[in-house]
Amino acid sequence: MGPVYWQRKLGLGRLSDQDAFYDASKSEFVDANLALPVRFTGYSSHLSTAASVEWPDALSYGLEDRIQRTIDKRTAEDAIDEQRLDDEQERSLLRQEIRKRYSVMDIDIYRFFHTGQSTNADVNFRLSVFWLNHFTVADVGPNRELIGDYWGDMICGGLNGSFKDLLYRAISHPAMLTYLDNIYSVGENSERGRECRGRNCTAGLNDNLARELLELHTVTPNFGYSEQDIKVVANILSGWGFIFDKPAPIENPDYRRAFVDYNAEPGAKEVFNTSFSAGPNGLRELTDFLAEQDATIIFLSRKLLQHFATERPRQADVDAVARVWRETEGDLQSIHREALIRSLDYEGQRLLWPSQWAMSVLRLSHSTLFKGFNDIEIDFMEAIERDPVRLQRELGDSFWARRQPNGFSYATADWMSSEHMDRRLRFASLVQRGGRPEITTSDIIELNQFSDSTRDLVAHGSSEFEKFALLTCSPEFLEV
Amino acid sequence: MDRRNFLKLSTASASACLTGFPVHGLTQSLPQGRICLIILEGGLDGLAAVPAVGDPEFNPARSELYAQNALEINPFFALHPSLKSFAEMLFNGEAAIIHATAFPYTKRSHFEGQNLVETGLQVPFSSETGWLGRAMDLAGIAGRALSLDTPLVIRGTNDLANYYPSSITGSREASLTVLEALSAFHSGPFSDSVAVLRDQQMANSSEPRVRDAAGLALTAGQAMRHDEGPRVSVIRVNDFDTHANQGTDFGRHARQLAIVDEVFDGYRKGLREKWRDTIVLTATEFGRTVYENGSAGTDHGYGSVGFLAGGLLKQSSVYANWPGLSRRDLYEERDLWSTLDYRAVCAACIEAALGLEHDVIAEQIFSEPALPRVFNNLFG
Amino acid sequence: MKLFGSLSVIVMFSGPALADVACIQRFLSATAFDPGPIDGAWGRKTETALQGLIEQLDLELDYEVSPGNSDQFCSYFEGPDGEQIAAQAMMRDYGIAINLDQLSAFTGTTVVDFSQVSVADDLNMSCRFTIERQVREDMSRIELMASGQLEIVAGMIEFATHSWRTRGLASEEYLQEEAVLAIDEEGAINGTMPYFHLFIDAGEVALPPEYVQLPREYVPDGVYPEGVTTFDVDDWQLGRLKIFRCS
Repeated sequence: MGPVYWQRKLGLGRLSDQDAFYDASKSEFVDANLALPVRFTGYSSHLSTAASVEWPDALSYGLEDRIQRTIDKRTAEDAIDEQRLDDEQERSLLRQEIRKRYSVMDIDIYRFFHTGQSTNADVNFRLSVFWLNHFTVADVGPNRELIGDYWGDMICGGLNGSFKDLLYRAISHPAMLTYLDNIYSVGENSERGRECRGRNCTAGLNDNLARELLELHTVTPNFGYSEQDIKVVANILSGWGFIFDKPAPIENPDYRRAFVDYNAEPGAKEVFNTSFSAGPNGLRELTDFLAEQDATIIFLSRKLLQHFATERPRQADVDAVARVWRETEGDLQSIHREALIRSLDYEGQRLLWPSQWAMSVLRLSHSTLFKGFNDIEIDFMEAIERDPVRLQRELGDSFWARRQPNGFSYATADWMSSEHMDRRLRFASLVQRGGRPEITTSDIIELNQFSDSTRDLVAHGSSEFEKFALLTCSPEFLEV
Repeated sequence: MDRRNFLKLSTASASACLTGFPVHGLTQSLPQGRICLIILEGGLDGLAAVPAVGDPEFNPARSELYAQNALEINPFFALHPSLKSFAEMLFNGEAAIIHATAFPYTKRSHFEGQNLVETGLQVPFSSETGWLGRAMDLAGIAGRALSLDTPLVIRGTNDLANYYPSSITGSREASLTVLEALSAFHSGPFSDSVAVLRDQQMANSSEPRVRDAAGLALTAGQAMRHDEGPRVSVIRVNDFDTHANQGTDFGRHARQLAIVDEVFDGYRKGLREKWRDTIVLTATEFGRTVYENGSAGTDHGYGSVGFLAGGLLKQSSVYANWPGLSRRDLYEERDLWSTLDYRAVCAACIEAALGLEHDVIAEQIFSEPALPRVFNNLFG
Repeated sequence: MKLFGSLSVIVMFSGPALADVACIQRFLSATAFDPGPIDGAWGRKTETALQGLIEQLDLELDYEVSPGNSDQFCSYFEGPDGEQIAAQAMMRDYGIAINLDQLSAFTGTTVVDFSQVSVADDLNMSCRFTIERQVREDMSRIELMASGQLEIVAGMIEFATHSWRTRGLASEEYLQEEAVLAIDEEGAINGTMPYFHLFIDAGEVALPPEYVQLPREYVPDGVYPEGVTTFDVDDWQLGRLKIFRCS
């Protein structure tokens, strides 16, 4: 197996030719890939024949902008509600207009799909998907405009840093604080807590984020922690985040460091035989502590291999990644490198998540299916589905849907069913009918060195349409 | 008889075409009952759905979360206002509620809890199959999952189809040639999935395409009504993890309960006369804390409620071994205790619908030979 | 001395044995009928629990619930039937005490107010019916949505066999179970019913029905009660419920 095979296994298959990589050894190949900057690319219109271009800055929104939009959207919606319109249709039209004006969620999804389809840093893209799934956030309403920043800025920007930085930034990001209800968490002895007791309003700790931080993001239950431990962690987390789409309790809040003293449990906190400072520093100390634990290291080493190779990676490989982790003190580039190199030794065993597979189909066939960023406003009355927002829902692995905190599973059995197969086959037909693939199925097979058995399978097709369906739904194509 | 041959031989058979789900075995030897599972994801707050108004500790504990317009079922228990169709079923002798019950899991993690709800065992992630899947294997019947994926609870048998129609404008279903080739080429779950797809297309099922839970229940009921149709179905209703702003008469929790109510009604409407041979039951990974948590919500707990409906029930009632709500009666001083292993309820439903014996169910499905038998309480 | 001796004998033989009561309490505590602490003393809690168990299981016993019979209860519970009784008593059966008025108020169901309508309550007939859709912008465009049979019983409409052409979720249950319609002395139909207002094509997601109010307008067409009652649906269509061939 050589670089072309590795290319397909590691990434989503290249659109442009990067001959430089074709002669490299395994580790050089991975190094070269990891060195690429994570750039957001796309194409301007689905009709354009130009190669991919940079995603326009105007369509990438900063965190403050997104938060402001959420606030404005909420204000506008409340104004509509107050009018108490009898006519349902009028009301829903007005709400649609508000959404068009303020919401950027759809644009985020476009950017995600465009990047997946046309970026040259496809390995980094897949790494960003791994971390986006690990630190799952999903749509709970007020945070839906923030997910694009969470992925595009926080995660993509943190891929070459250290794990403990990534962990801290993920947990303290307003999307996460909103998703796991930390914005409602108030320390018993905080200023707000004490006031509420006096005034008979309800305010208390919410342990959702604390629980999932330990259970899903870092040490896992194997570490051994009690409900009391969770409570102390919740106290350390209290004060982080506030309900930003309602009037803020403090003046000019700095949204990035969204720590609200008023809600925070005062004083130092003791848990896991360690003391954590009062105030906002406590969270950083906690996340650093959790990041160093062996339980975290082993858990995540295994998970990385699961993502890139197989549901049940070899223990030796897990140990090797963990060793690099400890030696480099959590340097993500080194860790990623080790995991990626090792994953190349596995023969296709993990089913690609549907959207990842779909992007792979488009890349390998040199097709352009989705609306371009100049087409976003246009509502095509076309006979072909070009909207990644709708397609992602149909495919079933939307990062913008309402999801549970444990994220998407790596088990094949969870992603294979008759309906899932149906979706893949239908997507393949979409690409044939409206994606204008620039090369034929036989070209794809040659360029990417598919195996003989896959060639045999494809030979059963009596038309280009059928051959394409057979290739894209063959085991080799479906699996990593 | 090989399933694929059965389909080819019976092309003249109207019922095989209608359901598209050929079953192995002869029609006479199939169980007469139907069992429908509704998984409530996130942890159902049993005390909000069925308030224990007759317990003297209830009012102080739950004053923030109690629905004002609950229906008093009996002096001790009331029913949340979202459950209107279910109330009618209660009145008609076709529904039952089990309270203070849960799967034997107390660690309050969704991840582990949901796995146990579906595997029916006690150690998380210890099985690739689910309890309904094992039941179906033992009874030799086909099932249907009303979702995009195949939920763990129903895995165990190959005779399984999914129903969650796609809505992709301009897409085309694959040709039979492609399906045949893929099915022969793939192995294991891929092959079975493709084979089911091919069978469905060949049967040219004219079922309506719906995706909301109530519509799915209706179409599932309609399919299960046929003698050769599936005997088992599973639907998930999510969003019960109400850590914040749970609501009372209205709000998040109320909305999700209303969906559950519609699912019950959908099944009844779809099954029509076969409703008398059916049992529908809910399951959830755990209940929620008795006391409100300061964000007008509840955190993960232990004991919860199970809703049952269908003609197989012998009568309507609320059943519980009530543990009490004073602080010392609560599990870890925070959660409603569970005084009945909910798997006993699941086992009784399997016994009633599929005709398997309790001992077989307890040992081979739940790996729990000492599982209590509540069949006589509910169905006998 | 002798008198003292005989007195103590009398004392020993009155009242239930502690062991027997404790035996009952132990048995009960493993069921859903809580006897309170297991202290061998027959109190109100023990009695209520025992009574409750007997009533729920409908046990037919020759002896009544009283402390004097504790030994009999104890042997019964320790006997061959004991295990089964314990199993059945694992849950308490709280029963249902809902009356119809409570239920109607709770479900808010179709108490359609016909007080302003002069319902033709002496009318009993069998008719055929059709439900059609009429496009407001082009009133000549009428499409058939459903057709079949209905019965008029004391002025109230009961749908019999019929079929919808809309495909999707449409089936007989909707009109049969959810329509509440009465025919008045002019022939107009009043009330509310479910109405499938769209044709569902292959590949489209099916929708539940709209619930419409009748009447908007009534036009007799033939011998009473035959005619067409129109109703509003939305801004682009009207509905028509036509009754004909009555006998």
